[in-house]
Amino acid sequence: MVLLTLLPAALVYCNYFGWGLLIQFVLAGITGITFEALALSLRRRSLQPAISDGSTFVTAALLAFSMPPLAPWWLTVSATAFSILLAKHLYGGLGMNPFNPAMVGYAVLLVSFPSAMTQWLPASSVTPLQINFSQTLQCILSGQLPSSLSVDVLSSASPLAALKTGLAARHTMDEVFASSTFGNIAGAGWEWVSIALLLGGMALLALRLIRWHIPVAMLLAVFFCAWIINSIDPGRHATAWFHLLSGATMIGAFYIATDPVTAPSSTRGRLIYGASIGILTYVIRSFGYYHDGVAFAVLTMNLFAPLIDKFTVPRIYGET
Amino acid sequence: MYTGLRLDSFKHLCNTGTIEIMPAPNMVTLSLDQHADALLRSCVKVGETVALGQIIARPDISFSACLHSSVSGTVQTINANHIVISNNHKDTLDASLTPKSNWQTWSKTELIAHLAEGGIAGLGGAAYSTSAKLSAGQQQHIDTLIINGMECEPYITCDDHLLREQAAYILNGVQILLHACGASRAYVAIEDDKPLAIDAVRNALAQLNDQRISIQVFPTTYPHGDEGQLIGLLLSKEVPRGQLPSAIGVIVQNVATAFACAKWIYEGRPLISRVVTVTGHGIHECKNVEVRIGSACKDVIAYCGGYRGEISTLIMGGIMMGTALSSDEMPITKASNCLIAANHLDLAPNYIEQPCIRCGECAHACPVDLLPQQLLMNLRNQNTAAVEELGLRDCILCGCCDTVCPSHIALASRFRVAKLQLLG
Repeated sequence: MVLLTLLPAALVYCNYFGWGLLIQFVLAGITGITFEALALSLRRRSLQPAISDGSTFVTAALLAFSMPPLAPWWLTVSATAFSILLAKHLYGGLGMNPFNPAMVGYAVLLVSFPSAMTQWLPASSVTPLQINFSQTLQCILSGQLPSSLSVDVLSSASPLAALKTGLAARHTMDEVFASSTFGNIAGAGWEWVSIALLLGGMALLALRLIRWHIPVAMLLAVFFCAWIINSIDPGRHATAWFHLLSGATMIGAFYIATDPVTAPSSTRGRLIYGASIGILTYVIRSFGYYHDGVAFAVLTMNLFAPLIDKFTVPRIYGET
Repeated sequence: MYTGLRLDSFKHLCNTGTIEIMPAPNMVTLSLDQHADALLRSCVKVGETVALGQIIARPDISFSACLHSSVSGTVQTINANHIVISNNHKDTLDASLTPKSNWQTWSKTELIAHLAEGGIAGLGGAAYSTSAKLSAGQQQHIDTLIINGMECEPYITCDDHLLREQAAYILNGVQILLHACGASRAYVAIEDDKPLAIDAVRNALAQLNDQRISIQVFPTTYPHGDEGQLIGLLLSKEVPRGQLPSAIGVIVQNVATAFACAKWIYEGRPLISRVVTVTGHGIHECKNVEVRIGSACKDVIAYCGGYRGEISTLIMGGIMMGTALSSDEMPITKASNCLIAANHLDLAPNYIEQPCIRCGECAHACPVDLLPQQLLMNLRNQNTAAVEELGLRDCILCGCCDTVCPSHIALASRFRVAKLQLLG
């Protein structure tokens, strides 16, 4: 069900960035289910319910959205291994993991292979897509680009990365945004993927698969942080709309931060948790070393989830 | 404000016809653990001939209800748990039983003591002695009496039928209870899925013309028939934790209890029978039956045409809060409001429990704002202190958490066991 709501975003993504996402999803899905079965049999648990609950495929889909489209196969396989084996099963499997599995896999790889993990493709609206399905597959499996294509044509920084390097090079905001990478608001292609993810998130809410507290708190926090800082120093800080529609803000708000296993469970707790992730995301993006901050913000707040739960126990009926 | 769950209703199974009177069985088994507030002590001997309505067991404490023989006949056996009486089918009434038409001249205490003599206990399902409730209220000023006709359990219709057929008599009982607790107003609370009962009460109220009594109709949501929930709904007040409703000047009684009061006072008939809803897809004829206390469930089921096909479970009480009976030899008690012969059409499929993913739906569904998933985790870790802290004592065992759990975890049944084991 969750996967179906990701479909519009996946279509938009494939339209702008080619077949990479689909191949990465299949790769992560197959390795994910293999590792899941391996871990379950090592732990002497029955395979059936845990494999059919679909949680592994959701983790695989989130990883596929996080990985660069042309990331070599071993990056995705390692990320999946860290997600399923380390983050999930070492802690006791579904329901017991303190950290979001997909984000653990992504973060480990991001820290270990920073340049490979940030090589993005230019959106097809900027440079017409130059790589077809079989070339993408070959590239992911062999790590070799087809001889007709050069690295320069196929790699581009994401808008958040371009913003960071542009500002570091003491370009003004206008100069940075003049680049075609930036599209209308938050990056060519990226903004439309984000809008499709927002639609998917609305579907999750309508289907009652998630509740509104975490996404709304997180999006409001990102928006207000960006709005305040942008009002103070518009020359060096991007607009609130840019932050909402770029990077992993939308997928983070609706699909990652809402993972119930790693979030607090009370209503007040979820508002605090969502808002904290929003603030941390903005702070890491704007003042930290990394381009995007969603993964680290979510993992940091995962640590605090039990503490938040402890301090937001609801008032029991009749309690004074 | 807690809005409650809208459960699928199965009241249509048993929603037509009138209350039938089941003939007294050959043998009755009267449980000595009948009332929630006190154990009973037998006051008859084996071989003794007892009359219909004769007191056969008394409580150790004052203001708790007595137990009467529901047939005339001979005492067969007495043990720590029950008294068995064989029926001589003469229904010879105890000669000392007389109507008390002068009750309005009595003091509160006299009236409360007299209700205990009549064996009056809460017929909503808990069978807590009515007099014990009323006498606890004597320490406080009681301003409101609530007559609970909510009946929010999806299968039970006995209160609905009693209201349809006996509304005027129930209101007479309300007047008696008003006198006994000293309240200045009484509300008859009914859910809106019982239009015939609502009409009957409105008509009876118009005839009675007692300004103290009024009717309140509420939307059908579960578990708003719970005492604490109903008080919140009606008066926007909460009963302080660990206290009785009388602490905030409220007493709640069931409609069938009010009916029993009227029977006892105006006819001199103690509580020797009650209306039971016999329903479920595993029974031939679903109906509401007036049954002598102590009849075996299997006699009641035989009266309703017997089982239809294989049944999965025989449930005493509602589908949400009832308990599965180990045998249909078990007797009907004052608390038995419903018997459900349940098959696969009544019960949720046997899902395999999945791990808790902490989604929090149970916490949203909990009418007393507990955190069921954290209770479960701490119960598994045998962390008794945390379980107490998280309010296991406040759990009303309504089963809302079970209903909404996407992992099909049986929370409420674990809480029921834990409440018995940890809290006594």
